[in-house]
Amino acid sequence: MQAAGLGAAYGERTVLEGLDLEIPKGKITAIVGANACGKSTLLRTFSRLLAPARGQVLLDGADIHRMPPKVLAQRLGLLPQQPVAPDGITVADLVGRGRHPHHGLFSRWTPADDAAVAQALAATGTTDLAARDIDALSGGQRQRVWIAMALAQQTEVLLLDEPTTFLDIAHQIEVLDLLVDLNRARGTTIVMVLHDLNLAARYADRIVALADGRLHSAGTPAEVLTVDMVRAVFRLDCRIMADPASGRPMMLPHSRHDPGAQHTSLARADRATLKDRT
Amino acid sequence: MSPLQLTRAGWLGVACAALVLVAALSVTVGTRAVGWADIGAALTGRTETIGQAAVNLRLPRTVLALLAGAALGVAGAVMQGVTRNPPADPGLLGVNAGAALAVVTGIAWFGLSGSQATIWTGIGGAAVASAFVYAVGSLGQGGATPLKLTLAGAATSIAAASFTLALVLGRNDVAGSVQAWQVGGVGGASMAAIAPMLPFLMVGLLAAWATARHLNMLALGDDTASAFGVRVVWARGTALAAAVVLCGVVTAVCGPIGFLGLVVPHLCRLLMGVDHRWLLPASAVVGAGLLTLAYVAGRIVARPSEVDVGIVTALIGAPVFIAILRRQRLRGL
Repeated sequence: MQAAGLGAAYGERTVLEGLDLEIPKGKITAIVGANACGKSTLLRTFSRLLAPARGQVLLDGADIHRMPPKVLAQRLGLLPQQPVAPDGITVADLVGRGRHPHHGLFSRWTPADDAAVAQALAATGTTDLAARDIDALSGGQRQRVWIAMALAQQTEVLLLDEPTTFLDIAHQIEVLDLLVDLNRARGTTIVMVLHDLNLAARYADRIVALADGRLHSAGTPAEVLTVDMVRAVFRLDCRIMADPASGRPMMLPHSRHDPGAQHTSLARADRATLKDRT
Repeated sequence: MSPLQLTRAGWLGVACAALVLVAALSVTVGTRAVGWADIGAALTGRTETIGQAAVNLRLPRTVLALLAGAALGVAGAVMQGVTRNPPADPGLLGVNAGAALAVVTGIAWFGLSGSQATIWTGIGGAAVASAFVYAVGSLGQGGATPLKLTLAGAATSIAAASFTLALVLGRNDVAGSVQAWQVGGVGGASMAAIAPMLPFLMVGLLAAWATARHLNMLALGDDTASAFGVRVVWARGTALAAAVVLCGVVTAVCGPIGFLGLVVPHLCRLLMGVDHRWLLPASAVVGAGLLTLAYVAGRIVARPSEVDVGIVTALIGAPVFIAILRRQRLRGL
């Protein structure tokens, strides 16, 4: 996927400007940035939810905003931040609705649909929940069911808007591990907005950092997650260290209450140590 | 078939059986007791005795009750789906009142007569009212929320009903015919009056059925529906148009019949779950059965006189509406 000269606006208010971006196929990309920097807007223009004010979003060279909605929905899926489900809907029913783009006005349910739903339930570990009501599930289970619905859609690209929000840390890891499974098993290209920089660095192949509606930097976690980036994008001083297990960079924020710390000098020193190790 | 589908098919079967029973009751039971011999004779078209004549009146009324009930049930289910609003109902959202105002205006000022013209006028009134309610309900922050739609609909209903009343009170020449119609009933039915409804009902019901899958997706929120390839505005528009046609036709012929469109889909959702591909047919069957039952009840409770179905549905519907609101604890409002 590709964004070329992308600009987006809500009415008069410009939210994104002059964005050129390449989303590599078959990889996991995390979009990070401060609140109201345009992360969710970027994801919305990457799907069909918001038409860009300028520029294009290309999927294999074709402008997605000119593709018929159903054709696009067969190739590109999106999980909104807080999807709603009607009261009393069962897991199987909800996941089955993920097959919508593959059906015409009066077409019948096929064995291929059954297989896609069964696969999606199995991949997300929700097969046992199939007959349950959504209302009766925990937050983590519910998020897995929503992901199952997106899987039943069987798209090559999956966009997720903060899939870990409102989940406790164990469920956050569970959901992100699931996305990695999916990416490895099916080669699905995953693009997600994440708030947590450390989780983004841990799980994404590439990080895209946005600041005030513009691209700040894009690249591997080690390239993007730097003291300078965090300072420029979040206006926060921090230290960056390597996670001993994964080798990925980790961000430790500074606090005004840290004992006797001179933030800038500390930050500089840490960047030097990180460079030494890598 | 999965257990859930078996349950749904089972309930749909039960509803169909009940419908046949109620329809039979409606023809055989009424303010006048008619013997089986006369009923049999009347069904073959004979009108020699008073009993046979009575049955011959009951037949078209029963047919009208069945059709109107099915249409209102489906229209209610569609409106609740489109607005994601459980207390939505063609009566509460001002659609029926708008259709009624248009028809009464037509009768009082423009010499409206003839079933075709009345039906078109009813549909027009329903369309204007629903567009108005939707526009008012969309004002301000957050777009068309259930609470704003319900308030706008209630206000529009009251306003339209007041205008209608003001019109009728000043016009002794039309007051009689309008008043009987305005209560909502099937008493004036004849096969000749029913025939012009059929094409409209057919179009409305087919269009509603065609939007079932879209309604399923809209239930997940506009963003999700859009992400799964639904053209949200178009889907909502066609579904609403189907409901408006159904309400307009029924109101033009029967007068405003309240609460049916509210109660029926709720009942069906309890039995069938939230899949509109089941919910819509079930609402048609249960709606037809319930309105016919109201017609039967209206003839039994007040013998030897009759209570119009509009009053019976209001008597049943109002408490059910309150129960629904209480059960939801005004969630989403």
